[in-house]
Amino acid sequence: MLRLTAIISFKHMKKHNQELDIDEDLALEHKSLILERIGWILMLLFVVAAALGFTGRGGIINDKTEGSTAAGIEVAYERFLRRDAPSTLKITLHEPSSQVRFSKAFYEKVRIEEVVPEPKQVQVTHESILYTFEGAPVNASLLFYLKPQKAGSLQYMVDNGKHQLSISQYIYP
Amino acid sequence: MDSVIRGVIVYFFLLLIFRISGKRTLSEATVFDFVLLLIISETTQQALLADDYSITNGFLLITTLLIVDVGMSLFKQRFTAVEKILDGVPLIIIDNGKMLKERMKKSRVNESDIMESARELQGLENLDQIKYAILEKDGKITIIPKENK
Repeated sequence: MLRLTAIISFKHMKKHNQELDIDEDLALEHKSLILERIGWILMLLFVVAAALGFTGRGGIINDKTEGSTAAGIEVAYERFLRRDAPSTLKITLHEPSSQVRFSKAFYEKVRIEEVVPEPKQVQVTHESILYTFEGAPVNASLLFYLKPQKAGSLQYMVDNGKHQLSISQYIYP
Repeated sequence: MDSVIRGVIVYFFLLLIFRISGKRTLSEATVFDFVLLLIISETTQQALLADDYSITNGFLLITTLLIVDVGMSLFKQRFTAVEKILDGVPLIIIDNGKMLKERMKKSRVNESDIMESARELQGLENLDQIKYAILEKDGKITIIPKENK
């Protein structure tokens, strides 16, 4: 009975040189080696892409700026974010203004951990979140420390009451 | 729900990355390989747990990983082709005393690796005493000595 079980369980094994029971599959081994090499290249590309900034947190591709001195508002941000990983958004106001408004998508997908300088007032509506600062001087920088909460594309508008900028980011899981 | 998805994704990612890295990657672990393995496990732990260190989350993740593992073992048992693809197949690297250099090169095995296994497993002194050397699925090298050793 035991012998029969052994014969049944080893029936798919080949005999090499009529003596060695081995489940060798050279065709599969060859394909596996090719896939391994492709996998190594993909892993290398992934690391290079990460070094360039495609996966967020630093890198030349990742750091972006929208707006200009002429537009009155400038937003420096990261193109790629990661869920639960901290990030900073820097807004520079080149015109006298005390208000910064973000559209709804921003506060739905991102948790604002801290704002420097501290705003005088924060108002949340169905459409936007409005920060009011007291006596912000020209060329003042506002820092928003953020923690993305939901993965996926993040598109929102930022405005200082006069000019509006469109920001596009991507949050990795 | 989030923990279950994390567990399943991490399981399959690790399965894929270690399959791609090849049989020999961590088979003969040196001290540095061991340290590397510890770093990988620590990184995996952070990706799995995120900021939820509760006992519930820990239990949920352990259960998820084991269920997926049991499921995969049943799946591989049912479909041997899948088992071969996921776990790989053994490969003869010394055939009847003849060294198969091309296979050794592609599999990242050299003569000293074979001799190390020959000494450790069979107490052999030289390559001439080996009839078959097989690179197993787990990356280890097994040795069948010639009869008149």
